[in-house]
Amino acid sequence: MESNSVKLICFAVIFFGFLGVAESSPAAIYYVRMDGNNNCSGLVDQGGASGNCAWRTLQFAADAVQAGDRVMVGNGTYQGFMIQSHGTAGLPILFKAQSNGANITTRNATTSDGINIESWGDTPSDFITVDGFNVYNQPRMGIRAIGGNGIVIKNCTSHNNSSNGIFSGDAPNIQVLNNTAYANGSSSYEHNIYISNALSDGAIVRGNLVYNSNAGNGLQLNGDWEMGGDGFIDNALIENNIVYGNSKKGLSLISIRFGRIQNNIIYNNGPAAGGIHLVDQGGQNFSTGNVVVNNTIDEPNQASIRINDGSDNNYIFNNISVGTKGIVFEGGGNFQSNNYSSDDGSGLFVNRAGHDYHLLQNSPTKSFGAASYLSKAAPSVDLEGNARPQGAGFDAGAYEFAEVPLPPAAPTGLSVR
Amino acid sequence: MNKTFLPMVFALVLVLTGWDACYAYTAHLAWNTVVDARGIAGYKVHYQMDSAVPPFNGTGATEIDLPGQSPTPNTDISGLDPAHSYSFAVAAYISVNNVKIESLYSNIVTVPVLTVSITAPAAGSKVGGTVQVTASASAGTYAVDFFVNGILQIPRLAPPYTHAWDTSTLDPGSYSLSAKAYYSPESEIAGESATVSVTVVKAKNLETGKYYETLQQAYDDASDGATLMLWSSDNIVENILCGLPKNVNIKGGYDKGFPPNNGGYTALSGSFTIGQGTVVLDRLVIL
Repeated sequence: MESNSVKLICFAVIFFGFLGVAESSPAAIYYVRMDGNNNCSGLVDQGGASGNCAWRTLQFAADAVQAGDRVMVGNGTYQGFMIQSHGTAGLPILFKAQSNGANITTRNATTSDGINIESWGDTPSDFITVDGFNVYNQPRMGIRAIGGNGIVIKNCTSHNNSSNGIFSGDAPNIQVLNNTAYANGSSSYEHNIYISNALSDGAIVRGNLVYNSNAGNGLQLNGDWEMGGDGFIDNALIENNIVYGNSKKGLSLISIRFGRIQNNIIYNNGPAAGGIHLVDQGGQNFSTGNVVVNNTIDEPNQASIRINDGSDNNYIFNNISVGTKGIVFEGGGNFQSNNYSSDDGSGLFVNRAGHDYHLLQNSPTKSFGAASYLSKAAPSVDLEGNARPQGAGFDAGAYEFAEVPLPPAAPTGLSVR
Repeated sequence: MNKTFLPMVFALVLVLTGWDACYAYTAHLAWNTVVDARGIAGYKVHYQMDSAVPPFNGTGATEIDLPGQSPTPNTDISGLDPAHSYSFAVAAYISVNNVKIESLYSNIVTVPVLTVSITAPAAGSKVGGTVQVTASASAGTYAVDFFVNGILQIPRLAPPYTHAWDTSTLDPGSYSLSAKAYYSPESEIAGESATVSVTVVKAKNLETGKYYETLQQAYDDASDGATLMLWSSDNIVENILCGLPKNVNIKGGYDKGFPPNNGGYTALSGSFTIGQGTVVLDRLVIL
């Protein structure tokens, strides 16, 4: 009995010691290629059957990576993958398509999604970045992320998937950056981009091109009280997106608080929907405390911005609203200022018909905005990163007119010898 | 009186190569700093080959971006071809949202193609003593350098580009004359002339001032009563036939400057035949 105890202690020391070594091993760069093989080391960016060559499948890489590892993926068409590992804030895990030619057209082996970042059990799939993949024709979602903190999905294209193009649930601080999502979904509950559930506080949705959803919204955030937590998504930042032609709403914002929606271009979304919709869910968890500022919204059929009765303390300013329905407050308790409304947008934009919403030199929206409103500051740069203001004051809308300043004086006294 | 002397050689002929025209120069540009309350972000130098018409954005146009400000802005542009003219201008710029807002051009400075040629003495001339070398240079030339056998004789000569070349200390023979025209006092920008070959000789007709490579040529060309002067420094190796009905004085012992006579002698080696007329020989040593 004593002997067995000693053996058990020795085993434990060796086992956990081994784990300790594994945990502290340095981060690696792995490669996945169409001409690689899972018998390879994965450490060299070249084809082969064994030894120093790249792996063949994304799933093999997903099962192998640890915090800080990077997986560089060559061009080709791959089966999707599901990852349940996790990185850390300082050592995220990266899956990167090296030259934007990595396509995922087949669902991963476990779920019906192309890429699935799945938190199971007590170890959430934190700090995983997916960069540059093209994911399409999936039986469910293009890219799905559940439960992990600090997940980043960027530079991906997700289209023609049966459900959401990019989806997250209870993923705190998720960042959805510079993606293209279109033609996703099969029902009004499935959207091009969908950030869901109350643990998604701090979400950033920036720089995405979101258009032509099949049946749902372009972009939806939903605190989703029925799914637990406080039922709100707090402090989301939705900026610099271009959202158009979606079947339902451009931006459907359900039960979000203290967020900022700024510098977005939104136009021609569903005939029964409209541009930005701040709303509750089933009579609970009204959206409140949000700042909607410097957006350009061109919705000929429905309200450009609609805030339902009960959602209050939202600050709406410096926006351009084109369309006969304009900005609609269904209830009270909200604040608006310096919004420019126009029925047809004439005289405002460089080319409204071509959806170039840069301002004309003599657009009345120039300097129509305010630097701040009720202590809520307007963004210091516009959709393209140009500083605000450039003229006499802040322009309304997503674009600040690029005033051409007077040139400096010409040099004198040029001599050549 | 018939005398025979050994043949005489009066001159050496040196053939020297001309300038190598395949070179590139560097232009040094400087201009006044521009002050702007918004902050000058830099300057752009624009230049264009073979055209002074702004803006300089056609064929052969180049733009150089010089970010930053300087109290004494300047730059060097190398690799310029002297066979082409170049026009230069500078613009200042400010930067707004990463867009550079340029000023108008500064004054435009055009550096022309500089040409220069030796106009005197003529190619193939026989010269001696002090020779007036003259060059002609194109408009835009600041000064001219003179070269003999590629060696600078006098730098940055102002118009009318005339140089008194003293051949009196030279050995007889062929010499190569050339010139360079410069754009400015310290400039590398220059045009180069073709070379002109002349021959420095040791025989001169006192009355006419003409120079001769051989004593025979001098005798044949001399008029009745002429005096032919010979250098004292070298042997004259030549067979001479004095067969014309005229009186000629042949005097040795002269300095290369013709005159003065230094009181020495000239050595004659070869046959010296007097068929007609009278020949007076003075200060000659017949070997």
